[in-house]
Amino acid sequence: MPAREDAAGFSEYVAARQTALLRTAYLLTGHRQDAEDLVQMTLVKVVPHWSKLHGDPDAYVRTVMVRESVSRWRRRRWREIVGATAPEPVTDVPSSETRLDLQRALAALAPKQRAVVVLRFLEDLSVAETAQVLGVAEGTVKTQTRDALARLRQLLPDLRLGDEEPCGTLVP
Amino acid sequence: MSTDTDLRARLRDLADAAPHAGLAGDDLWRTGVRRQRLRRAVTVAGTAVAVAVVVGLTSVLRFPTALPPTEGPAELGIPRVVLPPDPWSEPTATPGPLTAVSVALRSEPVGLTETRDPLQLFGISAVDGVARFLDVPGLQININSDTVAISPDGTRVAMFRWVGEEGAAIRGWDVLDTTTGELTTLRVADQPEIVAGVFGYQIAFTGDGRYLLTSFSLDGSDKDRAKSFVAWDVATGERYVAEGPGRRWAPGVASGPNGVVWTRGRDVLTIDPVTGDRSEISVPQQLVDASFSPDGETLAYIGDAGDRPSSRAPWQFHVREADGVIRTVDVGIEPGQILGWQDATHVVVSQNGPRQARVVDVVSGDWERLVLQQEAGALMFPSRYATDLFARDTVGPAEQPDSGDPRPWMHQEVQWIGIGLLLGGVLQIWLVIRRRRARA
Repeated sequence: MPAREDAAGFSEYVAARQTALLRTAYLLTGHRQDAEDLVQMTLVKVVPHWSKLHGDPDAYVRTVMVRESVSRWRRRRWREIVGATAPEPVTDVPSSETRLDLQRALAALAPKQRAVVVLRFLEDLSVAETAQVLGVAEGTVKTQTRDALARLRQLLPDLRLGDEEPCGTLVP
Repeated sequence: MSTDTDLRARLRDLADAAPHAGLAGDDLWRTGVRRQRLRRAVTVAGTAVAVAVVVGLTSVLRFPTALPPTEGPAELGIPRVVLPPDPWSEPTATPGPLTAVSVALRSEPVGLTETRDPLQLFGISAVDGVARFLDVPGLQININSDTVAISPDGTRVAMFRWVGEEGAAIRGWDVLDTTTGELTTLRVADQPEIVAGVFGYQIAFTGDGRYLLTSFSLDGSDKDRAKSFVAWDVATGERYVAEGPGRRWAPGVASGPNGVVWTRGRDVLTIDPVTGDRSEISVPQQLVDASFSPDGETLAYIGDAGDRPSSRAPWQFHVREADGVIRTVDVGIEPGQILGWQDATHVVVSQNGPRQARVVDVVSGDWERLVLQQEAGALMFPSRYATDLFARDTVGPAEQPDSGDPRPWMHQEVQWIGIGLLLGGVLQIWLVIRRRRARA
């Protein structure tokens, strides 16, 4: 059982990083409530391993969150098919039209493509770091980045991307 | 439409709409700890259940297993009860010295669910008393027990090697060395098929175990009168003609400590294949069976009391002493066979069929009861005994190791577990669907 100081360190981490985690989770799920659930479940799952996370726990937490997000998406899709219920609507629509367009475009991506976009362009992770979080090869990350950006460009024609967009690097 | 077209900036802008929940680290920690404990408990319980199932199945299910090797001295005597092996037990070519042989049904899997149950020869070990099927490839069992013989010391078993379906002809006689597993076929070089005939069935070992006694036609004829009485040296495969052709009936195979012994009508004949020495003793009765005592001095025999072989008068037991004096001994049963000698003055005589036997003192004429039983399944094939071992005390039945079908799915326990797992899986799916519908 983790020691008491681990609990204190964990609480400090939650207090310091929950905003960033929620931002990432929100982009992964597209839903505020789902984002909160995702972050909570991620942190609960991290607890047993906390004592072994020396230094920066972000990498591990991010990995758990992304994989949990993909798993939830799979379960939700299964429920939608088996339960014959409608997909969960995007209810908490962002205030601006721009946000709404982007949210819809992200929702149209496959979960791993969405994760790649979020990790690379929100979290500013490299290809190698993204591959490690997703547990895939770097080539896969590059491919998914290219496909995701192509899809986004299709859905958001005004989206400006740089010359290296297949690898996910944007023109500032 | 916004003028901001930078994906990175737009993602950050969208992320600004993320909730700002005040997550309590302490609560999440406690929840995480509880969840960890629960998962650990579930893991332990699952492991315990899995271990219990495996242990339970291991103890309940019986699979064919190689029976333990027969190690140690062969000290056991003739079994009073011959129990067959478990039908699913594995056969062996090296069961070690045996006290008796018989036949029983042995189960073999066919395909996924079918089973065949051919007759198989088995022997009772003189070491541990356990019954083991004998592994003789291609052996076909004839229900006539005269087609199988066991040597007096129990280290060799001989049997007919049939050509195709039994009954028409044989290729020769197989001799299995039960201590080495060596299988030798005694056959006539220029006769690929030996016509056995109804009256040529009986085979037996000589008292010293050196020769196998057979009756067949040396020239391939199927005529009864063409048959010779032939002793095969089982070590070399050489054959010795003890009695040539010309007689209608096959001889009655008798026994003695050495050489070849047989009966013809009222005569007991002997011949030593090594020296060629012959002897002949005549008695007043038509002979059914005869046996010389281990010291060769006394002849015990069963004779037909009537004047003709076809007489329906009861058979009787007689003793001919060395001086030629013959005494008839009432043994309380109608004797049918002389099984062996305990010593020079005590002979074991039995009925035909059910083995009500008597141990007869050939000097005093006193006798004791002896019951030699065998399981009902082998009743059609009376056990053949290693006659030397009557010199030891008879023994009770040994516990026979259990075995079972090698296909796990054929075990009722596994079938019930499979049904349970199936129902559990269906129930689990139903619960998951119900839970997800409730969430939706």
